[in-house]
Amino acid sequence: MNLLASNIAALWLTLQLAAVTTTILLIVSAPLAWWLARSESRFASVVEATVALPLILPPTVIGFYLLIAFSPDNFLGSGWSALTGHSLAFTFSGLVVGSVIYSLPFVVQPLQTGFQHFDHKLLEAAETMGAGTLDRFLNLIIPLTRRAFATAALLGFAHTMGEFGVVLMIGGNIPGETQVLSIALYDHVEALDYQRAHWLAGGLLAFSFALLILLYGFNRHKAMNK
Amino acid sequence: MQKILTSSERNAGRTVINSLGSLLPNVLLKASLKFVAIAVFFCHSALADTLTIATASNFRPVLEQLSQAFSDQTSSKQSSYKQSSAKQSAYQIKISSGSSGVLYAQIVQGAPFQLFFSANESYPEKLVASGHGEADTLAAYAVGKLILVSRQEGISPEDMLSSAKRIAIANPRTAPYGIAAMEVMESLGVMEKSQPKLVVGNNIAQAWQFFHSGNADVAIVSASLVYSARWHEQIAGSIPDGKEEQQKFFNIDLSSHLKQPVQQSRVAIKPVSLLAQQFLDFIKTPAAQKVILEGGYVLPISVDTDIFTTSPMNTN
Repeated sequence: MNLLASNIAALWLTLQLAAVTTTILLIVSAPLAWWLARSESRFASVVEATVALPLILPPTVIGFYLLIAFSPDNFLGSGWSALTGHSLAFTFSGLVVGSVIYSLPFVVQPLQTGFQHFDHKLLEAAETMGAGTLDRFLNLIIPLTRRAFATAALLGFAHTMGEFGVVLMIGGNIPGETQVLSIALYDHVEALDYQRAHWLAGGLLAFSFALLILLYGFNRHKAMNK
Repeated sequence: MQKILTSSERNAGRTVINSLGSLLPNVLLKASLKFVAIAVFFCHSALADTLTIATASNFRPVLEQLSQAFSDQTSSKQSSYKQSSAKQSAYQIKISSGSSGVLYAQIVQGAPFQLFFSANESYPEKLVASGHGEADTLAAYAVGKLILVSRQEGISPEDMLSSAKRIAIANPRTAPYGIAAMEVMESLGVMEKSQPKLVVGNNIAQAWQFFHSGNADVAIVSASLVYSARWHEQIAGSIPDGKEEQQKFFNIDLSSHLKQPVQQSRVAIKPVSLLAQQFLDFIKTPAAQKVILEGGYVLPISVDTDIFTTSPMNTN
């Protein structure tokens, strides 16, 4: 039946978007947060403010500017289509770009806090024992700040799942491509299709709650066993 | 109707309460807070009679002009009656715009609108049937023109739609112009080719934004919207008003491909206020009809029998 199929497509798309976004964000944010945690540069506060901007900006502001940036008349849009042959607006890639910007502070900030609490003497010790940069990062920093990473990943994922305003502005509401859960729900509500809306809203609520219980339970268990 | 206090009103209330706090017992404190809230509410409603209008996005710019003209007219009348007072109009008009389906749903849910200008006939009819709308006030106010906008010239709409990379339309589930756009693509026989290239705006204004920002190369919208976009640009000064208008966009009128014209109806929501009735009367005056015509519409049969002589399109 169409009802179920379209909702499942929206769910699957949303999960994909959240997963891809979170992966990119973890890779981008780790060095950024590390630098922010340790830097004494004057520019650090400017960078920190830039990272935090999506926290206070309405998503519609981000969406509005992104749509302009995605235009073939502009640098980002023309560069992307020269590289890939596709446009960014109304595509999954475009949503990933938007989500990475939108969820950036939710991943950077927990990591930054984790790194600030990291004992730097350990790093020096490892260095004197001849561990390289990557070695130190993978085998020392990540294991010791894994809870910060878990929190960052969870928040980034959850925040992208709940994204609405940016996608509304740059998505074009295309099923299977840009119609994520929140948009599909909005679409059902606007079309007065409350039955489908209920299925989607209730499903998303249950799913999010289960996800959070799982993760908090896991975190608590870890903390107890420490 | 529930009055929601703004935070500044609430804070003002609290400051008063705090200063009295040492004198009053707790019970009185709560009562006085309520009193302040009620007092603020009455001050507010005494200051201004408000006319709230919900309108389909496509009609918003015209409605803004109409309400301006309405205010001018009534305030000039007032000042001629009593010279001293009434420098400003004693009411304000608040316009909310969106896709007709959304506004319809909001009204059914009890949104405090007094007038509803829909982009179709059926939503106002439904409101009358459900008892929300006043039957006497149900009437067509404009017939919309559907146009195709693009950046290319001299190509047939069929070819334009077939060769386009992205076609922006309003959401056919909620917006009458979205439905009309689908109907035209169907009747032009380009539906199969167009379908995968559709990008759906939440309403017709967003479809236009998709096109205007350069992300969609073709859009099917209402003529009134293009008119209003130009109107806003003229206000902002980006079109040096007059002759030298750059040929950025090209329009093709698609109205003839529609089985049914996009007849737009309006209705007053019960209880009908005097101000709402006055506004509806004003809409029927020749001056108001001229504004509607110039806004990219045809007048409906009930008002003007010249429906089949489409007014010249000069929106480029």
